[in-house]
Amino acid sequence: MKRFFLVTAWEFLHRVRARSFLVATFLMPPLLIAMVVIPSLYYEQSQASQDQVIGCVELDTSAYSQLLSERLANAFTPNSSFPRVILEPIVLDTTGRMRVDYQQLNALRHNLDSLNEAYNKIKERRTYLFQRPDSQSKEKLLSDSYEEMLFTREQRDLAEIEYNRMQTRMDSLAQKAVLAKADSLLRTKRIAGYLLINSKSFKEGVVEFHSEQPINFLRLHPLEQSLQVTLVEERMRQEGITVYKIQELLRPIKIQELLLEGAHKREFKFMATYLAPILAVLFISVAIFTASGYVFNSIAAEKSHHVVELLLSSASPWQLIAGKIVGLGLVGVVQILIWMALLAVLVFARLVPAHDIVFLTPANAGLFLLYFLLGYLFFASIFVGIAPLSSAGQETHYLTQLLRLLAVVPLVLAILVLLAPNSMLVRFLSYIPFLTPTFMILRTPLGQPPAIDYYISSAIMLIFIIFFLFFSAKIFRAANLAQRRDFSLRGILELLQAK
Amino acid sequence: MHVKAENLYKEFDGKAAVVDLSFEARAGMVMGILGPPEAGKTTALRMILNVLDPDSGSVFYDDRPVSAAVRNAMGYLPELRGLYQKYSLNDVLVYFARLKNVSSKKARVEAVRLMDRFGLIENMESPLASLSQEMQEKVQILIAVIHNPDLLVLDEPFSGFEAKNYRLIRQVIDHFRSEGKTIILASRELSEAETICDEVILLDRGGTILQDNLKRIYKRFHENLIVVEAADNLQALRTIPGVKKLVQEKQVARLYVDEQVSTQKVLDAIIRAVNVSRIEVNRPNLNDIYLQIAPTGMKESS
Repeated sequence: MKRFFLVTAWEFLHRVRARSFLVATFLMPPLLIAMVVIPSLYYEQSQASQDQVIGCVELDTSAYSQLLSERLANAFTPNSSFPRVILEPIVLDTTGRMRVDYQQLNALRHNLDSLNEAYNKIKERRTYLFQRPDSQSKEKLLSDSYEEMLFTREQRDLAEIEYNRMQTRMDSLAQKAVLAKADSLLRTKRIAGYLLINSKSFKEGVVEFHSEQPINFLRLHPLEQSLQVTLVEERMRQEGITVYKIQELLRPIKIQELLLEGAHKREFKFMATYLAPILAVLFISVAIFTASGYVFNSIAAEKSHHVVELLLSSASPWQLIAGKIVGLGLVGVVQILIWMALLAVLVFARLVPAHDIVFLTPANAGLFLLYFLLGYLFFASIFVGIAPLSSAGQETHYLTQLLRLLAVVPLVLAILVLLAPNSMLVRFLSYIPFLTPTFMILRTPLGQPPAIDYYISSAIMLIFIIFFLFFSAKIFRAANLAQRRDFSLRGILELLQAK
Repeated sequence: MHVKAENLYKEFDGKAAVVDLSFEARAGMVMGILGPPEAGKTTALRMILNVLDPDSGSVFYDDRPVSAAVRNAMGYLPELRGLYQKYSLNDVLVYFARLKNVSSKKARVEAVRLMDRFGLIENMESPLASLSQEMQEKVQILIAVIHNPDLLVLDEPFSGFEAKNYRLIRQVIDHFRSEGKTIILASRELSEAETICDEVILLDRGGTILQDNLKRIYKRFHENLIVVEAADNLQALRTIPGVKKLVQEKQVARLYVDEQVSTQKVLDAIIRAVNVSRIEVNRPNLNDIYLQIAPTGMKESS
């Protein structure tokens, strides 16, 4: 036992005073917090500070852009998590060639109007003539006016054809010009995108949104909602529902989320519910892999510096392994305690709101520590066997790489826990040892898993730890004393069989 | 400490590394386990140190099996020498002394005493990586002896040391012998070992090919040794009367000659038989004896 304590103290004291430990303990937290919180803060800031200017092109409708604009303005509140959307109607510039064309179209319109007027007057005059008593002059006047009417009608029809042709050409040109203008505004970044509304939009419920780059759906959210309301309002109006009734029917609803915690309920807050537990998982994962990495490095260094044979002449392999695992595990515990103390200081200094860490109850903190220890022991027990082979062949290198990858996988899969902390899939994955610490630590504040999950996951981890320790200890002694340096998988199996 | 090994046997991957090794090393004695590389010397030492368990056979220390007290009384200098590079000289010396059950206070006092005696005191707080090669070798020797062991086990003590430390290791061996401690060393440097060992075991491919007190060995192999260098076919010398054995290495032949036969007559016969470029007459040393008795296949490697 004395040698075990000596090895434990040696590993603990030398590691805890090392620069790498100080870096991992004091520089890692701001780095991790920055990684998680800064993107979130940046997003919120950029949402709050940047107004989104969205254009609106109406092709064969009018006034909808005005309606949408008002609705968006009413919907925006300064505390909203969404950006303010300003809708800017895009109208045609009547300059240059377009102005000449419009003047020509107006002239044609005037001509058509005057011909229509002349035609109507002839028709009125002929009606009056018909009502007069029959006479020779009446016959002649009717005959003359008929000729005049036919001529005027022909002139009017020709003018109408010409006017319609001109108008069609003008509509097409105007449409192209307004779209060209909208695209130009888009390219010069004066608008983030533009809506294209026509008469079909409200019938079919499809409004085109043109943009240069994909826009975050969250930024389109207020616009989409305003369009939805405008659409429903328009449909209701067409069904004859009064404006007052429409306003009443479209009164918005705010969902207030309350979470049940034991006998109490608290309001849902994104930071407290999701972000803080994710940070807790990140910190504990860092502690697990820092401490188990120390075990790996310590054993690999003792082998490469040829110290291990000297140690084995003084202490048994079990004393060395146990001393290293306990000593370096204590380093991890100290690291977590330092972080907790720093957190307490930040809460005391009101730099971190206490309600953001309400999940960190003594019971939860105890569970986090339990899963840190289980996670650390699991990976440390594997590294004890792999570290003496670390300077060896390609297959060992692949094995080490695989284990490093395994450190990332739980963090990637953690999204499953965020979506449904107590689903069957998440519960099953929680029983897989290398996922257990991350999953159970994240599930604890998010889903309050059933007690049986704690028992089963802990028991499985303990079984695997004992299993790996047994085989790793065999490999530890044999591989440390072996002369050869190229360990294939077959070689490792031979080490396991060695006496 | 009286060390007694009985029929030690160890194999790796189905290949025997040490076969039926038995010996007794008494207090005040230097026992040499000698032989070429891969003869099984290090494996034998590891079984004596209880770092490796023998497949069969056993080792007794003062007629008792290994115990914590016995392990504490052993000092070891391994063949592959290394140290913690980042930690300070003082910390490392104290740590290894503490692992040998030396009290904290005594370990610190002893570490300072040794560092002072061997000129390392100014570097006591320096990381080992900053020390010169010669100083690091010294530290390795100090680690082996800091707890004043009753049994000193040295693996290849004559290899890999700089000249000053080579002298130091010989002084350490002499000092421990004079103190009545037991020293067991393994070496492939037979000529060096014979100058310091009282008894030797010659190993070849794990098996013992010769084991005795050195004086008795010299008495047993008391024939003359004639070394001949010539460009001719040296195998012709095998037929000269009185030549008991001929061992040829390239163009050098070592003739083991019956002591009863006149050396002058044998020399005349050699000069007549081949065109000699060099000729020497010696008493055979341990290396010559090994070459004489080792299986043919191993001679090339010796």
